[in-house]
Amino acid sequence: MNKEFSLRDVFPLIEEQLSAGGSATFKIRGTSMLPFLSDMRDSVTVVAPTRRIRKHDVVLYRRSNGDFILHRVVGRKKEFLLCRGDNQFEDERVFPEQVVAIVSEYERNGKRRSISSLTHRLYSLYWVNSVLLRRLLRKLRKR
Amino acid sequence: MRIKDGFVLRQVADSYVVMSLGGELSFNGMIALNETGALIWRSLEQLLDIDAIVERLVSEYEIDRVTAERDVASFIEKIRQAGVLE
Repeated sequence: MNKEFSLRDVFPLIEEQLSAGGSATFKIRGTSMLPFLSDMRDSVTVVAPTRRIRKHDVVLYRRSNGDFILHRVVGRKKEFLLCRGDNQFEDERVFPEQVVAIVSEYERNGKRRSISSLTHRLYSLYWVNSVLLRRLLRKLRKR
Repeated sequence: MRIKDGFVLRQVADSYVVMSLGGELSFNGMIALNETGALIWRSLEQLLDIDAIVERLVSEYEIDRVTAERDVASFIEKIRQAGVLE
């Protein structure tokens, strides 16, 4: 009775569930959140964004083309958030109305943890702040 | 035998899924139903007993009674194990 669905297909269900105060758990697709989350191995649990979104949160948002993206908040400006996949170097402007959910828990390599766990907070702090260094290393490797 | 409050049937693409509204909706191992499963689910929502559900399957899908009884019993066992019935 198990079946894989695309996020676009199940989004109306997620939306209904979140507005009923529930949560939704689904597997990660894609590699943009590596090394934090692996494609088809790890999963996240999302809830409605009832609190102010902060830097280091991982949010699910919808682009104007209808795609759903799960990326990390790496900065906050007055009118928009700056989001970036952990495996990426370019920031994306995300407006509050695009954000549909916020990650509350994740399951990585079979272990389930809260997004506010010390492990995740330390990882995020290191990862977000080391972006310039990682970008430089990548350039050197490409030479 | 009835479906617990909060469990609802929803259509996704060409299948149906059962979710617990306001609880945790997990797409990892969620209950996905085909047309027959959805029909049995709706019959349970209407509080039909097993005989009536079998009768409905026989008339809607033109299958024999033995197959219908087996389908209904197997479906009910699956959702009972998933903790959906009370």
